[in-house]
Amino acid sequence: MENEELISLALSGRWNEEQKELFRQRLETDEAFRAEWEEAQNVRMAITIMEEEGLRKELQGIEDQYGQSNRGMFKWIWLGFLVLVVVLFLYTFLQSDTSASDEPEDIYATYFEPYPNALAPASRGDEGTNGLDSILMLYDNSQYVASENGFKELWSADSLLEYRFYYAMSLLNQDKTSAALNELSNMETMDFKFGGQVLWYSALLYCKMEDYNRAGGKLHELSAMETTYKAKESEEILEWISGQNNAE
Amino acid sequence: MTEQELELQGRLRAGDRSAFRWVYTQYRESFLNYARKWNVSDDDILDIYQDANIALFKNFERNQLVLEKGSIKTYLFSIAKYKMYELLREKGKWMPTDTVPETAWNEPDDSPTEWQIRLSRKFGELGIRCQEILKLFYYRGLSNKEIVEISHWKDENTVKAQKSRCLKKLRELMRNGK
Repeated sequence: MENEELISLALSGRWNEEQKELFRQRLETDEAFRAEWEEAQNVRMAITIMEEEGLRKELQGIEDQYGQSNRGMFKWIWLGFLVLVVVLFLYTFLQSDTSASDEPEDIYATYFEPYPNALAPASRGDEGTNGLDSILMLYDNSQYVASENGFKELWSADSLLEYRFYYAMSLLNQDKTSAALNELSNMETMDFKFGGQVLWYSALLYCKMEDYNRAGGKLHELSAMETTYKAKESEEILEWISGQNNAE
Repeated sequence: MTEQELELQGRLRAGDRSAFRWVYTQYRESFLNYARKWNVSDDDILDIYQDANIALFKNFERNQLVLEKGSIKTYLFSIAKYKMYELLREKGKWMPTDTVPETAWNEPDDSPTEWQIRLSRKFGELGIRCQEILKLFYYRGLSNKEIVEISHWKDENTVKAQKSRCLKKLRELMRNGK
């Protein structure tokens, strides 16, 4: 048996006792074989290192999509955010204008409505190849826990932003505010069918969180898109935000 | 075992990266929720989960693992749980013994040498075709005959000759490079 064949068997681990014995003998007696085997092990390890690095990068890419990249940095941003909240709270408390008008929850409740299924008509007995129809049916039937999982799977398999958008909508419809906002934020810079909707729902969520600067920013971006989508509502909310700012 | 599981195992053994990503995203939330009860930071949990996924993929691709019993999720969780057990032990924390996987999963001690790390950098400088053929032989442990069956190479002799050229190139890179 040639050295190369024996090395191939050793690398694959698919060998019998007889072949193992032959391998052991040759390793003891044949210097050239020993050198070949050592080189094989080194190359295997070199490839393993490179593969692991590639896999790690790939997972980091996925984590970036989950919005959890730079996790160390996130802690500091979060800490900064907390400090800001405390300062704002103290400021508001000291200024204490008790005549605040609409509550943020009211704005959200007034304007929020689940985004309808705009991907395809969901009809019974019409199964798509990737299960899209059944997931849309779950969404249409307000089964958002199931549709969240369904769209997440579709998105993982296909990377279509439309699936990710409905994944975010499924989160939103379950009041998973920060998770939904995180998903929407990641889609903001991307050019796709639901770009306007991403801005609209982000603005509503920021209103809910009382971050009116960001809410206003999103609504301005939406107006700049030259779309009629939620134009009137955007104007109303912008007016309300402006009133709030003036009152302060 | 379901057909989907069998298909997924096959894709992992073939080194399909989309299958790897699918497994990672599929069980991520579930593992995060499970592991949070150990009072460990999300950073640590994610590190463990990533290590476990890489170990799982390596076992499928490099060692051509075949799971006859149990699902990929169970296997993944057993690796991750063992890693969690190790982390807790390092931190002097306690994990109930009934939660520690029965068969302690362990990776062989294969810390790379300086030479191997340098070799991996040089390997990255090879052309794609060289990387591919060396990976099939040395990493996945395929014979010349098997390489012909799954690739575009004409016959075993061509594989042998190409492999030899690529190794020579790699040796040159090691000799000439820093």
